[in-house]
Amino acid sequence: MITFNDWLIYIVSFFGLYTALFYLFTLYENWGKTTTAGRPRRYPAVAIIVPCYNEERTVGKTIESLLALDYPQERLEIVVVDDGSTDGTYKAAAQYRKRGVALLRKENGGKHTALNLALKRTKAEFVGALDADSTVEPDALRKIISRFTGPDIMAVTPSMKIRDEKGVLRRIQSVEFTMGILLRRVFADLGSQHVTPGPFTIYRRAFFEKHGYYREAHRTEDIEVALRIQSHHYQIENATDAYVYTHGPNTFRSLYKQRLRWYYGFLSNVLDYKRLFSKEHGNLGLFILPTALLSVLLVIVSGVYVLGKIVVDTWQNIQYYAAVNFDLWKMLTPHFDAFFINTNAVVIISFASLVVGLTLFFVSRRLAQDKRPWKLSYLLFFLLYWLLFAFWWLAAGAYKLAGKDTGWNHKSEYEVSG
Amino acid sequence: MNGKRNGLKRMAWQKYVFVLFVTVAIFLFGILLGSYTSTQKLQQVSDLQNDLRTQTMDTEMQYSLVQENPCAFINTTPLTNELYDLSVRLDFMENVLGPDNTQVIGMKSYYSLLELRQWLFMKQLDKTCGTNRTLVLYFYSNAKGECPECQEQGFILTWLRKNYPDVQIFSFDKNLPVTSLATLEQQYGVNETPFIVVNDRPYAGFQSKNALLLAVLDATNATMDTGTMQTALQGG
Repeated sequence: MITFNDWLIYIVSFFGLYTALFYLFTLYENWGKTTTAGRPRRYPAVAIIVPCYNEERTVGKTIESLLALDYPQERLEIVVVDDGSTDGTYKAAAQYRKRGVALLRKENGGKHTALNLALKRTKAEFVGALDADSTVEPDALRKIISRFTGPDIMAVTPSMKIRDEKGVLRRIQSVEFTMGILLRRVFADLGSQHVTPGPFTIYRRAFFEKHGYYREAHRTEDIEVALRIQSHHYQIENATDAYVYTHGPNTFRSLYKQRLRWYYGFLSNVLDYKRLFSKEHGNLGLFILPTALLSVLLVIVSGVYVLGKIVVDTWQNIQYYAAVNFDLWKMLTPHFDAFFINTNAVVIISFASLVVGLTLFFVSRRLAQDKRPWKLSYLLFFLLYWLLFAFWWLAAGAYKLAGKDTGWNHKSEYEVSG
Repeated sequence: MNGKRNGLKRMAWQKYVFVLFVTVAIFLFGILLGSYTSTQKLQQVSDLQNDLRTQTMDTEMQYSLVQENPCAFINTTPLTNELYDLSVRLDFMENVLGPDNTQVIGMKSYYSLLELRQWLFMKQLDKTCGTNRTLVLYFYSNAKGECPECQEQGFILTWLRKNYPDVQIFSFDKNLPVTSLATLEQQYGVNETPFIVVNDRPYAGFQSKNALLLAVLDATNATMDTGTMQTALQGG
């Protein structure tokens, strides 16, 4: 008899195995493309917008990293937009005026309004943004520009890494971002990137002129732009070796708030662009977006089930232990016998899924050029992160179903997207 | 104006089918390997049962041969450990393959008969030699919803066995299709689970650790060193 438990493992494993193998195979097919040419054939004018709201402590570092970009200075325009900060952000940014940084100030109106203000003023061929808590590698811009190899490529995304890895939560996010580098690469190979991360995705300005500027888009303008680009059949490329470092939340509360905004935004924008789920959009419409939604469903169901099972089993065991007054000394005598290693189909298939998952992670590390030794955070990632993931998605889904506005303030929008 | 169709988006169906083929192959491999290892383990359990049958018969034969002095066996507890080992393996296989697996049911029925034989043999030894072993019969049910307390009762009995190896426990699944088991149930009036019999005295329903210790102490009298048992009882 196959139990619910077994069915769930079979379905999750089959889905996980299929998608993971598909990603690995796609990577294998396109392996040579994972590094950029490094130097573009020409250096077009680029404008980088730094939208900020109360970022007096970090904006300087962000501007410094832009000033250090290995890109002809006369072709690079840096525009800081202070979106009505109430702290010393404007003053902190003003110090860089003498180094050619433009500074705009406006009433607080949300990140998309700050981006649009600068977007409408620039004449640069390419535009991008960098959140005021992020920094870039000096070679990132030229690597990204070298990826604009055809007129239909409207955007090129970078690879994002967590900057300051202090604390368990940030280390776990770092693992997640490493996996994200691989996913973005694969999605690019399948013409199916559906998020253009706020920090340092570079766009052709012509796209905004032709198809409209940034929109509020449920406070995730970076997801909306990507879906809009896709809906017009343009390409989004990825410069895998162009690294951007961003700040990861270090408390459960702030991480929850960030993820709620991301996932709520993803669900809402995908619903707004449901026309993408069609044959016309090939890999994106028939595989990537449907599997993204299916994985959310499976993660929620398995997360709730596993958590429930852990609670029920733990409670039951405590009752058993209490029944013998916790006199467990002789019950716990270690005894090894190979007979008791469970080798039924469910266990073997779960093990195969784990091996493929680990392979995916190894390849991610290679793509991310991550040569650091293995850490405990990797184990924590595999054991715990998906439970958190289920919780965030459940919360985002609940907000969406209830049609409830989460009431985020404008500050939350300025936390990294991605 | 839109861009021309993004060529990268075009689905390469061969790739989708190829990956599906690989995934299905991994699944089939897992199912076949799982089935193979389960069969091997069941064979191992079956071999163990056969060994036990031979040993039981051997013990009984010895008993018959030394009719004149059968109590030479008094200080031995033949095959108890082997039986216990077998029961642990069967439990494991039942968890892996499910309680409805016909092979598991067959092996459990056979195991029950071995236990019955062992229990009768020990009772006979006690009667002939005037000893008073603590022999516990435990009737349980694994059928869904039939005995929610059986798991906890089983845990307490395992604790008892681990802490007091002199207590011999024989456990029987009430739902097994074994006629002699039904006769035994009738004899002790087993009409619910859990149901425990300590040296012929029946105890219906769930028995806490203390109730069980008292029952064992009651039945044991002076034949066992009950000092630690009394301490355990006083301790809670």
